[in-house]
Amino acid sequence: MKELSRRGLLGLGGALGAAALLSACGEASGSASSDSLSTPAKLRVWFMKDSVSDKAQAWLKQEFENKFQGSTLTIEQQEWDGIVPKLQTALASPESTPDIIELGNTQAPTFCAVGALADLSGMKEELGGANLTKSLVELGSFENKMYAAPFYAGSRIVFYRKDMFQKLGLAIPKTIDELTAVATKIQTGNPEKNAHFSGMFLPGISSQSAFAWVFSNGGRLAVQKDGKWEGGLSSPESQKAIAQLQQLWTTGSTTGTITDSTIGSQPYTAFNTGEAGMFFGFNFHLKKIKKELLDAGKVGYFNFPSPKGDAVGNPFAGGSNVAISNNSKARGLAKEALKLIFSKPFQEFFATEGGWVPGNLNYAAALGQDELSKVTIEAVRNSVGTPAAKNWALVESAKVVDDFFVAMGALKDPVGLAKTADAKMTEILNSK
Amino acid sequence: MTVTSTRAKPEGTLPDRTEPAAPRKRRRNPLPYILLLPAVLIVLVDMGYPLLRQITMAFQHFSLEQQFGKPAEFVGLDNFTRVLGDSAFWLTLGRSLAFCLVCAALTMAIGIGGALLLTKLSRPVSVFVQAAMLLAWAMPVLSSLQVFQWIFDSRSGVVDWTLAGLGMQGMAGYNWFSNPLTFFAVAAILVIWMSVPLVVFMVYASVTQIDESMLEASTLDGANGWKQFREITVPTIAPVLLLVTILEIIWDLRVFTQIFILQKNGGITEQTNVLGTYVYQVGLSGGDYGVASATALIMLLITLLLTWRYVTQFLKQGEV
Repeated sequence: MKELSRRGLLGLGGALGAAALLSACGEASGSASSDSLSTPAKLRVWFMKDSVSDKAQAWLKQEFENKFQGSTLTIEQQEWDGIVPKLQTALASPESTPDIIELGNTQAPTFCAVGALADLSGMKEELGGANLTKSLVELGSFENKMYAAPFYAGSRIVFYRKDMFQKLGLAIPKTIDELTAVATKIQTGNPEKNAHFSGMFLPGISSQSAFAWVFSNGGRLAVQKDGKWEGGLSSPESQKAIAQLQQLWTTGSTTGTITDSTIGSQPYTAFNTGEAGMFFGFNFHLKKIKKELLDAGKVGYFNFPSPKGDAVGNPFAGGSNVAISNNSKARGLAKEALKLIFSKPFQEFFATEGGWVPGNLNYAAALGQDELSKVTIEAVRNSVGTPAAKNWALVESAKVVDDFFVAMGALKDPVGLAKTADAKMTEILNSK
Repeated sequence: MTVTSTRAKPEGTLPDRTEPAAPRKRRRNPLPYILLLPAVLIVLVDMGYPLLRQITMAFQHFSLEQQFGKPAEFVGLDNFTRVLGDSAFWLTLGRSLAFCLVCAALTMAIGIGGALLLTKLSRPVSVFVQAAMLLAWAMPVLSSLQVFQWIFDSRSGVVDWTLAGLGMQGMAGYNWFSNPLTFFAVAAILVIWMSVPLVVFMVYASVTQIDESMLEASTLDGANGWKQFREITVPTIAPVLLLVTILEIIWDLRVFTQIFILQKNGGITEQTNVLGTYVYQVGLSGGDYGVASATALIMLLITLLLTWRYVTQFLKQGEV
């Protein structure tokens, strides 16, 4: 007995690492779900952090529960970090799957392709049809069937300190080179003599911000040639963008070496403490800016510039899709809830509460006519997404692109590392 | 207790008890085995099933599509050749082994030293030290991770501030997590900090069991402290030392949480992967469960190889 327990203990230690790995992946199954509307169900909805305002959440819950007496709808808020592995395991079993899920648009192609989501093609017209954001419909479709509907979109704009620009006699930059020059002048000027001052707050870890440089120069993260994907960071266009970025990180920004993803996702913090002259953020970050700065009229915003100054630049197309898990036991009711999500009140909440451009563009007018909304809509219109490749989510979770831009922020070799990253992307994107 | 009472019944007569045949009878009695059954079942279901599943998956092509219902196809040793042919795996393996051995060695050294020190301390001080260690040991790993991240924060961390204050100008605002070497230094400090208390407690408990008279006698014979430690203390507590060393090696080889969380802070995932995070990245994030299972099996094999000598020795000693 004694000996057995000792052996058991040793076995436990050794096998735990392996066992823990697998305990999370349950048996896959895709059948036995109900499309009926009469059986009450407890719907579970996964929304991502900062996506859906409290008001909109409360509205959805109440509307749904009023309409379907006996059923409930619970919203569980999820963190972006690590969501892909979480979805992979949760969606795979009818016991653990949420019924409705929000998917980052960059992750949507992967989940559409592997059969994790219910086919929504039949209700596409009802959800908005031709008014649905086209790029998001593309990312949410596989083999001409729509599995994930456009939820909302958003793109970054540049926020700046008007008073600092004025003091140093600077104008709003029209080209990317001018942006670097302006950032450099603010940084050397350091009007408030702040010890941690950076001309522009642009952390290396925020690769999605850096995409604007790549896309505006005509570069792409990966391109499809004759049915095969190829990493695109080594292309002359991307390399030009990286040279511009590293120039900025050398003279106009001290924040390239920031590697903490939490700090990266809150670019307004440094701006609020007077430690940055500019930051690259979303329109709804305006609400996070210190009131004193706003009230004193010190905050302005402009679109990301283009290389030649003849147009608006091309920032990354942020946004989400919304889908129903194929393993959901209440797909019928989930579809009803999805209809509520695409109804006018809920869609308008995106614009009025969150500052996102709603998935159904018919309701985008709710964003308003002010300067901020105009700049935002312009940014979204010119935005470019990540490749609509089935395996893109795997590139993301392998952190190929993130690691690359962190290295660029630390001013490491752009040519060699781009080659390595491209090879890795090519391998992942073309694997079955 | 139940065992002995039921055993008494069939034996009935007195003389039987002294006969050497008694052990054979004990073996025939099914009750001990029935009593063992629940524990064995739990182990089988809890660990046997996942292990079996993992072994199967290691020989299958199992990616996201299979996870969502597509039948998996057997591919022989494909997954293994892919892992073993991947240079990233070998780099990760080397990194993991180095990290594990350094951490385990330092933990043992500091732990044993601490335990011996405890025996020399006055009672109140010793109780205080033990209480502090217990707190460190009982602290949830995520909380201590958060504290360590604050301590080593590049902007407001106390370490950078102190080093800069001491005149090391380059250390002001230094990002510890963006360089693989300093990344692992911080991770090692954290891992060692969390595992030293257990070593101290176990070694201290066994050291206090050493016969005082033996030590006294050796002093009279002229043995110094180091000699006493080598000739008396170590041989006496060897079983405990072996057990703790095995556990430390296993734990440090499959370290996951600390590295995984710190990676979120560091942004250089590939250069800081250890076996645990590598398997996670290939399997759960990368959606390649087959290759991940094969990697995990290799990892299990390495753990067994590393600890084999200790395990056999330990089992031999356990029989005495």
